[in-house]
Amino acid sequence: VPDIQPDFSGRFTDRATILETARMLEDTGIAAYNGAGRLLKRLPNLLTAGKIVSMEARHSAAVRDMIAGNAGDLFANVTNLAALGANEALGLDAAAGAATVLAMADPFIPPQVNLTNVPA
Amino acid sequence: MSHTPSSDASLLAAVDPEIVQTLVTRREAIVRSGRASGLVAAALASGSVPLALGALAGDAYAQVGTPAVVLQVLRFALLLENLENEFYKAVLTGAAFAGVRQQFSAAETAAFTEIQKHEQAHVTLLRTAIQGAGGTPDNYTAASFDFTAGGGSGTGPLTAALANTAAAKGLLLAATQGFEDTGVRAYKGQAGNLLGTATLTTALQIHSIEARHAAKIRRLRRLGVTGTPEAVRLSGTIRGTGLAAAGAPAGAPQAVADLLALIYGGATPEGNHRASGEPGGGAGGDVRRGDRDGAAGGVRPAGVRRAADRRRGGGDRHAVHHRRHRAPAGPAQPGLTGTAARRRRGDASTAAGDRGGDRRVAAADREWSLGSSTGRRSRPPDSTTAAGAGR
Repeated sequence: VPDIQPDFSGRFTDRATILETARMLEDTGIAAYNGAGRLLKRLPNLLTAGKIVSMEARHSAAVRDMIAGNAGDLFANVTNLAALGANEALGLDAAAGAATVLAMADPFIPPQVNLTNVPA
Repeated sequence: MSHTPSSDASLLAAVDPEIVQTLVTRREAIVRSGRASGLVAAALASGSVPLALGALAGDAYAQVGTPAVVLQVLRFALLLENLENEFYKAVLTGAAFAGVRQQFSAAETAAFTEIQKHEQAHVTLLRTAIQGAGGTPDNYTAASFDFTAGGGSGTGPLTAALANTAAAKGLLLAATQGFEDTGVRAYKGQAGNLLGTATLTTALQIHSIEARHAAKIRRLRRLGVTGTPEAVRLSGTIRGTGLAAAGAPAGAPQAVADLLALIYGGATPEGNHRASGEPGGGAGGDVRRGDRDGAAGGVRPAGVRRAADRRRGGGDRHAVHHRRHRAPAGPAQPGLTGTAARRRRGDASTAAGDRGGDRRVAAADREWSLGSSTGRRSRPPDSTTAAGAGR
């Protein structure tokens, strides 16, 4: 992975775009952590990742709540994350492999990231 | 695996005499009554059961990931999800909550409805998983729990959260926050027992959903309950530990504050803000690990922790309690990696020193090392102090 210079151009145009970008980034992060947990072989790493991902989930919920005007069920309704492995009916959050995650993050990352040595 | 534990009590004896006594007593009370009070259920969820399971797994580290351990984790998760599911159902439709329900805004009802739907789904999922693992899922009903924390009397301290008043709603949401944070911690606390199993990913998916719930409850409190402390962050995250993190509503009955103290017992440094040095910081002063969320596994029952606090003179970011030597004052000590490895081999005192944490962090260490050897205990007999905390 090279030094990444994220490109957020066009994402700061208005409140809705900013919030939606934040939501997408948070939810993608959740999917990445949840998907990668099984690859961690050492307990301390798994628990550290767990502590980070639940913070990401809290962030996502807050951003979603802002998007929804603090109403409704968007804070935890993960129907829109089905492509990232979520299942709203089963109450399961997103969990995705590296390729899926990178596809989500790709628009923000100009240089190509090489996944050759990353497990699917 | 080395052997099959014959009883929780003997296992727990290797963990922490004070906690053992508390847990065993409560557990026996539950068994005798056949009914878990809200308070005890909270204790079970936030400390006792994860601790017991952690001890079980810790006694036989090689068992991690074996079907028997996974089944135990699933059974514990089922208890927790049932507790939550029955709680939300009761709040939304139960007669006992009819009063406070009138205080609910549409947004609050919508949030509880969505959360209850998820908890119900988790119950179904876990029952199926337990059956798939060859086990028989336990059955729970609304009658299995007393959400007034009255030990089955239905008239416990959280009765104050049932009335048709704004204050009651504030208490109810504070307790709800406790339930959700407990859920988040419990799943994290059990993750180690699922290391390397196919069940882990599913558990993680439930875990982050619970974190979303916890965040929303915090927002409901800040946005809909006048006087909610700012420690209850609109970002949904956790500031401080202990009662500081719980954000007990002003004027809350002592019994409710005690409940929150039990849930947030101080063993889980979760926020990025130190409470020590602040007024009342002793209840929650602790080492921070940045924006990381806590894991349950060693939440210390409130009474026990307070005793520890007295010995320590309150929480301090730079307090290190150490069994065999004093760490020199200085910057942060080496990180988790080597520490946990040593602890896994049973060198608790070295681990405690390298951690550079305080006693409560030593307690939190159990979370990090759930599934490691029973030698992970780093409970010091005294309270020495040095610097080197923080990560």
